[in-house]
Amino acid sequence: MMGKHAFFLGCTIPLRLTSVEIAARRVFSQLNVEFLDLEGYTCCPEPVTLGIIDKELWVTAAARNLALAERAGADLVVLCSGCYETLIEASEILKHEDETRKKVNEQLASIGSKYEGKIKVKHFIEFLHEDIGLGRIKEAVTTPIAVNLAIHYGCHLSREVGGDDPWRKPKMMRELVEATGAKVNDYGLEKLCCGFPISQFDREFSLQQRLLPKLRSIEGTAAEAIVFACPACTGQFENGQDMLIGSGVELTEYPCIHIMELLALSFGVPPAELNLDLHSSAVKEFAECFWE
Amino acid sequence: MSGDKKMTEVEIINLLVKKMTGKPAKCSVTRERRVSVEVSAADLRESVGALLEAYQPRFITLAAIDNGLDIELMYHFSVGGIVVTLRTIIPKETSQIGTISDIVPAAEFIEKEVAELFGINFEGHPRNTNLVLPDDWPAKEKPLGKPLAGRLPPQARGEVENLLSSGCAQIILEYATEGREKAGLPKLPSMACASEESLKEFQDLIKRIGFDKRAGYNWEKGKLRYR
Repeated sequence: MMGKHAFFLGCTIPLRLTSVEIAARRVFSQLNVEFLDLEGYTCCPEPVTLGIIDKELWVTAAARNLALAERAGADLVVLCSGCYETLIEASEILKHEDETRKKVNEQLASIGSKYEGKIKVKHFIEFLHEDIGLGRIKEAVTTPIAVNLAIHYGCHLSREVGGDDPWRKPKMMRELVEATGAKVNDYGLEKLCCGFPISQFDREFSLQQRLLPKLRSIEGTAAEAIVFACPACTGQFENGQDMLIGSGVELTEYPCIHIMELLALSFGVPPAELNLDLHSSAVKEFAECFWE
Repeated sequence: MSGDKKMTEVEIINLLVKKMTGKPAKCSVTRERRVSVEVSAADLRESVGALLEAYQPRFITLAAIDNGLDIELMYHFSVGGIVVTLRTIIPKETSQIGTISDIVPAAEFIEKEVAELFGINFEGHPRNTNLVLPDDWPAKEKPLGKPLAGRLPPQARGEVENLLSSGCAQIILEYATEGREKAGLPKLPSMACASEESLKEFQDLIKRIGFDKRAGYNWEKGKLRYR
């Protein structure tokens, strides 16, 4: 029997890519999975910049978020890949580093909170694959997405604790995409970072040395759109394509769709109900195209 | 006889703590014959007065360090061969502290030197003309002063301001909240930004771990001091 689960939405999904939150709620509802909304959570905090500039802030704020779920008696299902990295790493640190856990709990005690490490943290990809199962997902597909797609997995999806295969979750993502009826097109540069983290320091490098080679490789396939599991990568592709084209680079502009949106569409949720116009790439047009 | 000396160092601390109940933030014997006492800028004069009254110390010197956001001032005194350092921090935005030259005349020259080199106003200092810099030195140029700067890289500053003011790393834009409502979702997600109580709890935690001070965040303005 499945225990209680709480959504960890992060900041970007509910406030920038609401379509992903809407899609996730529709998908889990159709799969008869109930989720708690984690009341009073904050930014995870973001692992790339904040995790480096102040470790104490990062681990303490993450512990407060984990403690909220623990108090609610729920395991966390994380919808954002960046948040997943923070929360899984912080939970491992708090599980194994006694001194850090003691110090963090002293701080949490000042706000009447405590983290004991009793909950599980799961990426939504592994929750869908392991806890729901491909069989149930395939059964829920009523509108197969019979199109050619490329997948950008994103670096955070490869984060594993305990030395597991870093391709464990990317393989799950591929199978979930295929379960919607889509054909996955390999392009050879799946492991290359989208360039988002470095874009904060060197925008040109991130576009020319990270994003452009990926897009050129995808252009060599039959893919009509790119699928993502990470909101930051989605933004980097959507904004980066515009910037590259704006600077005179001749390029195919791909719709950049989140896997939750793809699943919702395949489950029969009409595109008009997903707020897809929040995307800066042509996701809405792409969805309407095959919906007809 | 180091045991006796240790006692004397502890006695000095005890006296300052007793005379200024609860005011010295942190007192420590940093090593043999060295005592460090942290006081607020507002309590500095009272601390100096307490030291003078009890021990008639010799004033050694005043040292200043510009740490980017604040200036740390260290007033060194000798009490029978033990160096007692009263440390205080003043924000660079105001760069102001009261003079002690009226109760410690030996401090008059060094206060003036620090004032000219770091741009600090020692309020009530008797000398108006330059001491170490030429008379025609531009008033705004401080030879040892650095620009107001904190430790966060420019790329992280906006994110930290958002995080500390709302608990959310993103700016909460109207189009996003409207979009949520249109889609039948609550205007705000169930984050701390949607609950005063949760936000206060988070902000209290930030203050408790001292990140606001390390980052140089001004709670009243909701901004970093160097932005």
